[in-house]
Amino acid sequence: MFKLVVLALLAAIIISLGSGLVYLYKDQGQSRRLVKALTLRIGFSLALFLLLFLAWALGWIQPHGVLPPG
Amino acid sequence: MLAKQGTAYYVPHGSHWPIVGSVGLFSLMIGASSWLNEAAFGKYLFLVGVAILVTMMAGWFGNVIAESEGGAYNLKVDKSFRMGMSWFIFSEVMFFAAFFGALFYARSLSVPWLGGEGNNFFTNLMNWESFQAAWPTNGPANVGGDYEIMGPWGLPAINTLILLTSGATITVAHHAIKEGNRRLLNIFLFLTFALGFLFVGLQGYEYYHAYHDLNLTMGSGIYGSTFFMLTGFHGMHVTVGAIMLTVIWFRTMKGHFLPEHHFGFEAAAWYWHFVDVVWLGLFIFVYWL
Repeated sequence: MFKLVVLALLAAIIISLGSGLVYLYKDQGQSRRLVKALTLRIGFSLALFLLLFLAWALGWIQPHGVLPPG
Repeated sequence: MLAKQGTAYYVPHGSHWPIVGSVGLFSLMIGASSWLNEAAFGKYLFLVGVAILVTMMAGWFGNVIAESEGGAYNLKVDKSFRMGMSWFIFSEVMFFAAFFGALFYARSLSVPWLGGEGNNFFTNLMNWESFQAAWPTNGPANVGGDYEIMGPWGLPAINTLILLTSGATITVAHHAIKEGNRRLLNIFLFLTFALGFLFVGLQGYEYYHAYHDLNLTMGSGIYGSTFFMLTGFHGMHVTVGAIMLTVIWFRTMKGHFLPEHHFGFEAAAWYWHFVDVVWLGLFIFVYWL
């Protein structure tokens, strides 16, 4: 369940980054839409990192375990 | 700059840099592969390739910067640059999609098949009877011997934080260039590529740790090869992005760019965000999910 939250945030990051590329192409530097999209992008990313740390500390998510028998 | 621009679409003539670049890349790749195969000349040819490539970059960038500052580029040329950038990014997305695809395919399909999933009961029974599919794995044949995986807390998390911080500093620099705050722009742009090079250095240390302490190598089956392929190519992209930002920093220090006219900065900054997002994807899929 928590993994879905991680994936949703990742999707939000990719969408904000992608919209930034569209503004980069369309606006030719004449607007603030690109810098706003990229600000959103880094905001979502920092939120994701903090959330991951929190979820790990609270035991909601575990990293990959050690090597199973081969 | 803009005021000096004409209406004609500027087309450069007779540039020798593409062929210089091709020769440089050719020497670099032949040199690198010979070096890896322990041919005596490999290392030197590789270094010659690097030297030619650096010369090309300095020369070609210099030409383009001079043309830009000389007012050769009007809005239509600017549009072409942005279109070129978009195609380049498209190829980059496809590049990483193929590698992430390889990781997902191995993890979710081919390794479970070897373990007998789906209609592959006999594959497991006849070929790898004792193998139980799991991830991470070095496969049923235990290729490369026992190894430990790279855990997420420690260097990878520190590296993630470094890259995310550089994403924040480039954003501050971006706001600064729009505001016309040159001092802030110069400082935060410098911080961005400094953090980028720090990331690459730490990644090198992580590889050393993997090879010497964990026995996690490129030969450690499918986990080892996808791990090094994804993180290695990502590291190369961080290096390229940091070089771009360094060049842009030299330009901002010289007073280039206007709040409404700074494609070079926009392209390098967007690319930096892109590389950062790829890392975030790696961090999550390789270490967590």
